[in-house]
Amino acid sequence: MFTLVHAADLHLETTFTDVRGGGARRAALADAFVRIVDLARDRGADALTFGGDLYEAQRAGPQTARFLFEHFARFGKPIYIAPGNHDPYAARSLYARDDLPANVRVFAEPDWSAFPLADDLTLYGFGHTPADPPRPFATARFDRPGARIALFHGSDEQRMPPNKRATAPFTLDEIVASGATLALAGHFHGGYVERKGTTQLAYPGSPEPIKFGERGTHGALLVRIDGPQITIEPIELARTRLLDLNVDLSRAGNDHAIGKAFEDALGGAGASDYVRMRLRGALERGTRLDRDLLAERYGAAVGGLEVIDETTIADFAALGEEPNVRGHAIADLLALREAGDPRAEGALRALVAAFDGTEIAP
Amino acid sequence: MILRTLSITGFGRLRDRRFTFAPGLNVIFGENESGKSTLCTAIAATLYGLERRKELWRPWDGGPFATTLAYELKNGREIEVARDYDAKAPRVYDRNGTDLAAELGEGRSLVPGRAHLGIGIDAFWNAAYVRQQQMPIEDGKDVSAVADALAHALDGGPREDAARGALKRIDDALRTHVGTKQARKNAPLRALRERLDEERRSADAARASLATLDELRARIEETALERERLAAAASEAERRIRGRRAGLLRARLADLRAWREQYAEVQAARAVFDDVAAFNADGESEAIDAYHAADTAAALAQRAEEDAERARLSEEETHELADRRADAGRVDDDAFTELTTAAQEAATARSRATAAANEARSVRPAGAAGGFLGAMLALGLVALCAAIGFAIAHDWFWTPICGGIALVLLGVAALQGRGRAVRVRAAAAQQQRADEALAAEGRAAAAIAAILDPIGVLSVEDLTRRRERLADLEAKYTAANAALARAEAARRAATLAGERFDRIAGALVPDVTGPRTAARTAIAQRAARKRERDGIDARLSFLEVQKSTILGTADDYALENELADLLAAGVEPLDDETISLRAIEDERATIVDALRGVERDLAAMQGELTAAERAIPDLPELDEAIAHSEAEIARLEAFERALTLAKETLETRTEEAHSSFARRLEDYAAGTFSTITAGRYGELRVNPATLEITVRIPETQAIEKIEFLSAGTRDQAYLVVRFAMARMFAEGGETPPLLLDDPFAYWDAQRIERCLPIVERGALDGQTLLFTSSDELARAAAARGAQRIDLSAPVYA
Repeated sequence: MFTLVHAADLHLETTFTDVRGGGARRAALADAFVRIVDLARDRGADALTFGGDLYEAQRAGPQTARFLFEHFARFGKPIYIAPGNHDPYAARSLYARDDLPANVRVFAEPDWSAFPLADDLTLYGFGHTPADPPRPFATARFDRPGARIALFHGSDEQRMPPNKRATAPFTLDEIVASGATLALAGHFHGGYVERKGTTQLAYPGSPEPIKFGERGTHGALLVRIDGPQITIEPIELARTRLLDLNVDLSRAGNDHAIGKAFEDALGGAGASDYVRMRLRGALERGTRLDRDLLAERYGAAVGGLEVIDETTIADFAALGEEPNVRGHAIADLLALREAGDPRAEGALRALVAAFDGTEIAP
Repeated sequence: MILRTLSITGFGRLRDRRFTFAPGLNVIFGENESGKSTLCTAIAATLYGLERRKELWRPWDGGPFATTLAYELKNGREIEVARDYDAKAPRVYDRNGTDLAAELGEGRSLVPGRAHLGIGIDAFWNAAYVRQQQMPIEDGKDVSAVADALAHALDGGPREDAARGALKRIDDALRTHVGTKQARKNAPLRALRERLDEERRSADAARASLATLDELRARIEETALERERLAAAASEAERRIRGRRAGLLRARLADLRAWREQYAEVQAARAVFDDVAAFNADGESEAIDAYHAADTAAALAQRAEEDAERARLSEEETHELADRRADAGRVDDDAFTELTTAAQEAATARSRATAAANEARSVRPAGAAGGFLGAMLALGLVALCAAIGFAIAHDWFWTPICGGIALVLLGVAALQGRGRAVRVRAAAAQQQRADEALAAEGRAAAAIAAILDPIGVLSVEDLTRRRERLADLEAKYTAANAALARAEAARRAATLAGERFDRIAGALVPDVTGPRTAARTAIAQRAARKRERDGIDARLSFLEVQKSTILGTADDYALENELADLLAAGVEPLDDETISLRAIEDERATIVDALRGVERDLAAMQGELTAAERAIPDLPELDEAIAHSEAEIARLEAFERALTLAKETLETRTEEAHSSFARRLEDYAAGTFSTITAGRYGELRVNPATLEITVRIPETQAIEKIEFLSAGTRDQAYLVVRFAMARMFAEGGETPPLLLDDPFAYWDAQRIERCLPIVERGALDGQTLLFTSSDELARAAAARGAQRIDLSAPVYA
């Protein structure tokens, strides 16, 4: 039986712009990589595979190389890497360095290369270079005897997230047509396994969540190949969470009540959680809401906290019916908002706050 | 909207009271703190609810907290609103008892006042309520309070500074959170942009550093390859050096063997000349020189003898010599010099005399020339006489001709005469000189005779010949003596030279006897053999040097051991003599130098790489900072745009509303104010920007600010403005009741007289509740038909 551990999308040296605490999250990614190698060692894996985006080439520095190479060498057994769009193979990539540990093999071309792992087990690798790669499975034909594993980085067209550009796109049907027994992929950060007939497609997901809204597992895949039998066990490795929370401040008539509601909404979130808290509801007129104070006061308890104020401070429609200057001005702004003017919402809040004498702040 | 009744179960200080209102003017009389404001608030609270300030109006005795208001709308519909302030929502019924909650809204959204009046509570207070002491401008008090109240009413909002204050707060917010272009210190947006630029520069620098690291790594790789190449070249050079060295060692050892053979041969050859080992060959040259010197000296002596013999004087010459000494020898050189000098002088004098006589003779024949001179002179005189004669005859033709001829002839005669005189003088001089010369000659001849006569010589020439002969003989005599002396010297020199040679030869070849030639020959022979032996010795010395060259500083055993070691190490000897060991060593040295240089460069680059790696900033951190700054800037820019839009919208609407009110006021005042002031003041204006009220003075037609008018006119004008505002808000909808809560400080008779008509007139357009603590006003109003309501009844039953 041949055992391998597959992971992808570590994204070392990535930036986190949705919520603060990027340094801690990058450290968490590095820890996750160590856990992947530990997992492979502990489970006695015969090989370790990576489906791309191990690091972000535009920010990788000398310590990135030292860190990766140290743990590559620590694993000791063969490691196979199919570079992705964030870590493409190029003359100056980490994969091209002459101090890359000897147990690491990189698939450096956007074309399939076969590598026998055992008599009846072949690994086919497809690597990204800086140029956009073609559809990897469009003309692929894998015909060596035994199990055929395709290692690559690409987009499953049938599960594309909205507004995301496909890279090295493919379909499960194309994988089936190629003759691959198992496709070990990378690129989507939410892991999943899909089967069609005897062909399986598996994304391990990123070892730690990278962006809010990612669905699926975050960790690595333990793959056991015993002749024609291939079993895939997803192993959750993530220790951080990205939480999108909402808090309704409609009943909060003062900043103390706001704080209480905020704290309740945070619940049990802790130092490994990165929270995006949306403030919603209609605040009572004159209620003081200091977004920055909330972030400062409650941010220390979690890994990172971003507060988004979506509260409404007034019944704009009712105010817009008043036969006075304020009413007419609000009516004008409501019309602009209706027409899709992005300034209108902020203008409404500012106008009402200006008349009320409450703070006008971004 | 016309209020009909208000039942207060419990509201503030009021409990269990019921008030009935008339459609027009209602005057509610009550002392201070009797509940007038409470009643106003109860009306508004029943219509709109209390929200945040509910507890302020909870009944003091803690009993039920409720009011009920009945009113009639413009369309005749009768509505009753019963509000329990501890309940969630009021109950609203029509005349038929139908619950209007579904029609008007549910729960907190059920606001009868908004539903029926079409305005919110803030607008209601602004439009329908005139609070205590808001209206009049007392002399000396701030006039802006009226404009503020007007603005508050027109603009809306809970604050008295209304739109102006809102605009200012918007500007303040922009200044505080965004900053202005002119601001130097507080300009958050500009500061953020500058920070973003700085962060971008830092990130770019970090990226450049990473790129530099990559380049450095590439250079290190290239340099490492070069090092390997040089190391291999150095190894190859070392191999060739060892090979060549082995070859050279082998050659040297062969040379050494050859050398030994040659050395033995030469030593054997040398032994043949051992008999002359001690011979001093250096003495040969001296001996030969001495031999030659002796031989030469003997020859010279012989020749000198012969010369001396030839140079001896004959007997005749000896006698002649004695004679010449006796005559010419007695005239010394000084005397001879005198003699010759005198002879020369005499000759000179003779010549001079001859020349002078000749000269004098040459001048004399010039006597013939005297005849010519005389002829000329005569002819000239004749011509002159003729000229004179012609002149006397007045013959002017021949006068000048004869005159000219006379002139010419006389001129020529004059010239001739002069010349002749000169010649005569010259001849005389010459003759004198000749005479002198002759005298000198005589003296010289005497001097010569004085010398020659004693020695019997006749002439100077003879003496000269004798002297010459004497000189010759003397010279010959001297030469003969010299030759004799030389011959003697030569004999002595030859003897010495011969003795010298004998000494030298005796030292060199003591065993050789006989003639000197024999000794000379023996010396030469032995010297030659000695030289030959020395040559062999030199050859041997050369061979010794050659050996040193072959061996160098080592000995032959060391060379053999070294060769054996090299061969044992597997070195392949290189015998190619065209390959110079030195050249290979130089080549290796060059390679090693280059290798060291490359290693130094490599170490330096690796050091540089290590240092550079340590200095690489955290690029993800920088990129995140940039993203956060960009987001913050976007947020501020959106904030700026939103506030700018709010400001523009507010300014537009403010200008519009104030201008509109100004127009309406003018229209309303044109009728009302003129009527009330009996036509005195017809034109009331308000500045839309400042809401400052002005009035046209009829006497001067000037527009004056209202604060400059009399107190009475001011009161009237303010009331007109207030009613105009209420009308404006009511346009298109229900007219809210106007609640005048003791608007003036006090109502004296004059004020009552001038303001009450305005209030009455205003009440014609809409129900008016005038709250007052002036009994006089209450009576006056009631007298004019107003509904009077007293609050003086006890608060609690």
